[in-house]
Amino acid sequence: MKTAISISLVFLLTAIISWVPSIAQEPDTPEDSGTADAFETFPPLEGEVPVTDVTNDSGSVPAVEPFPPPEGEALVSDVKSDNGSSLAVTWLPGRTPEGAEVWIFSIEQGEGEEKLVESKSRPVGIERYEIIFEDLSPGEEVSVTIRAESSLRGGETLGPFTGIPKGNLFNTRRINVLVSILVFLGLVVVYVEKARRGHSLYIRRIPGLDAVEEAVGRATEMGRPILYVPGLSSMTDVATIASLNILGPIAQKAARYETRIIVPNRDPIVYTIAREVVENSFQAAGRPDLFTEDLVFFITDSQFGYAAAVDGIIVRERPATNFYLGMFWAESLVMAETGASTGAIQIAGTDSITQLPFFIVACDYTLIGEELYAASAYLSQEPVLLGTLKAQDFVKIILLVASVAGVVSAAMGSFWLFEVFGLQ
Amino acid sequence: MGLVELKIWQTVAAICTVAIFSFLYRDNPLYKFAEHLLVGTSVGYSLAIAYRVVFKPRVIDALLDPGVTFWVKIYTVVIPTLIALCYVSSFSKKYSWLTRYPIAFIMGLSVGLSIPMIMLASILRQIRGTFAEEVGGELVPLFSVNKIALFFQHPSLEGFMEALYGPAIILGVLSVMLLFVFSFEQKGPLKAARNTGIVYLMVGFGAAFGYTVMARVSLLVGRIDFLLIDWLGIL
Repeated sequence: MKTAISISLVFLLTAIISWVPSIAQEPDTPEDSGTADAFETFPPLEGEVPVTDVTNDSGSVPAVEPFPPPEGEALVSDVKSDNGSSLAVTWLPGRTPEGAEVWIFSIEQGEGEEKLVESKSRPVGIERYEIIFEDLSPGEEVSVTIRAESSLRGGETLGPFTGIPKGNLFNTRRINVLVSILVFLGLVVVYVEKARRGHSLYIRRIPGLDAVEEAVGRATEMGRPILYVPGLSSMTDVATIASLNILGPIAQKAARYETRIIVPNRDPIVYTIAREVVENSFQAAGRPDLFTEDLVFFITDSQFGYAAAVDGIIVRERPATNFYLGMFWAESLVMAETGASTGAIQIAGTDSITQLPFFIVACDYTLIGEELYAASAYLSQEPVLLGTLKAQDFVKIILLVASVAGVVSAAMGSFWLFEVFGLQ
Repeated sequence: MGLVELKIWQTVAAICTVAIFSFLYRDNPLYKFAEHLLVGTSVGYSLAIAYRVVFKPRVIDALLDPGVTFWVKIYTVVIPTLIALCYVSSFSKKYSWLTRYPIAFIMGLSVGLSIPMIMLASILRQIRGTFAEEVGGELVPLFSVNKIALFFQHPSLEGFMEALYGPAIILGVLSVMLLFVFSFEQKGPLKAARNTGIVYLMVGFGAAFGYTVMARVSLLVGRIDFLLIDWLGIL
């Protein structure tokens, strides 16, 4: 129950993070209707521009009639569900001065060196303008002016209008993310509890993972080491987290069979965690004496420097089994091909779609995407991990059903599910 | 850079290139030298970068900045630096447990930030893309009976592709998603769905493979160009 509560708290915290705009910010799509598009569909100017004869005029200023000030309704409002850096200016022009070509919306915020001045222009001829100004300081008053501008007659300004951008604690445009995470959380809790109470949770065979036992056994029989490459990415990558979860059971098997496991690392933080994992696994297997510092080591953070070094290890140490599990880039084939040339049994797994083809052709078994995430539960058969895997499956089935429903409803002309999935 | 100097450095680069290529024959001292040179220089370079880009501006300069108040320095510089310094404790057997604090911090932060992003970008928006797509500001369903009917009324290759586009994407998404459900054995009709999913994956992987191999060959051509044109000047 404690674990279930802990998992619940983690997911709840995550869900809240997803809602707090200042922490979990994806690039916002500004609600800038009638702005950028308006430029592209600039309507051709109609009517005549008043031009006065200035041939007898001695000065450079054209002799034109006075430009009347614009009239209309302006509303300066805070943009909801943001971190307080945006402000919306809504402008409903009542009367556009004759000859005006563009509206210029200008803002000013702050004083002295920190003063922010920004202008945006839009062509005349639109009924309603909504302009979003971004990168403002939250809580500081913003002064807005609206100016009708003519290249021949100058311009007249309306305003200033004022408004204050405010930050919001919750991003209501991400409510779909919150609900999805809460549903997932609920399912995880239910299945973890089921697993803890002894319900059998069936997981189908995954051939690549069944081969792990065989691969470790083969290295033991041949008296050669196992090479485990935990990918080249950092801990922010889900594939790296999954890889370190798999490293535990494999290191435990290696310790039990008294087989040396070599874990070269590219990322210093991954290295520290991998060392902890291997050391703990050796202790769990009852063989802490077999763990030495040189089993897990840092090479370099250079991508191809790391690949060259791993190639060197493969040809010099000649491991009987190579694991490539985690996130890989262009070096995947370099390492997998070298491993294949030494005759080692190779098991790879990644969620990098561009690298999977190379592992498929050069390795004996390849864990594709989701199989990599399922591997730690599959190998350890721990109730908590199995429960999480079951919950993931349940979510996939929900998504399958939702996909079919969404496709059917869209085909019938109803897009409400599209909107539900796409709140932003 | 003078001509002689340029030729010297080009020769060094060419020797390193040939040394790395020599691995294609077998492991040899020349490759070992190039490998160690690459690893050593990259570690040294990244250390210098870490000092200049991270440690100096974010720790030393930030601590000495007179414009920042004492407590702000404590929160934004001293505490993070102390957490980071816990990594150094891994050199001591007695205090190596301290490394768990920065690890826990990094893990918690990474997982906490990535889950909502993945849920939004990789799940919700991807599923939404199966329903409809936005064309010129309007929503168009991916599965359109009209397009299929139009193809049968006026058969043409273009019409066929147009009619097939949406259903092919929907079938691919559903069958591949089903392939990664681990809770039941995929037998009977599910086996057909699984096989369809595998076909989709392999077609995708094949395309990715071909594309990447082409890019790699162009890299090889670049290296050969360097050796034959820039260095030897024989082409």
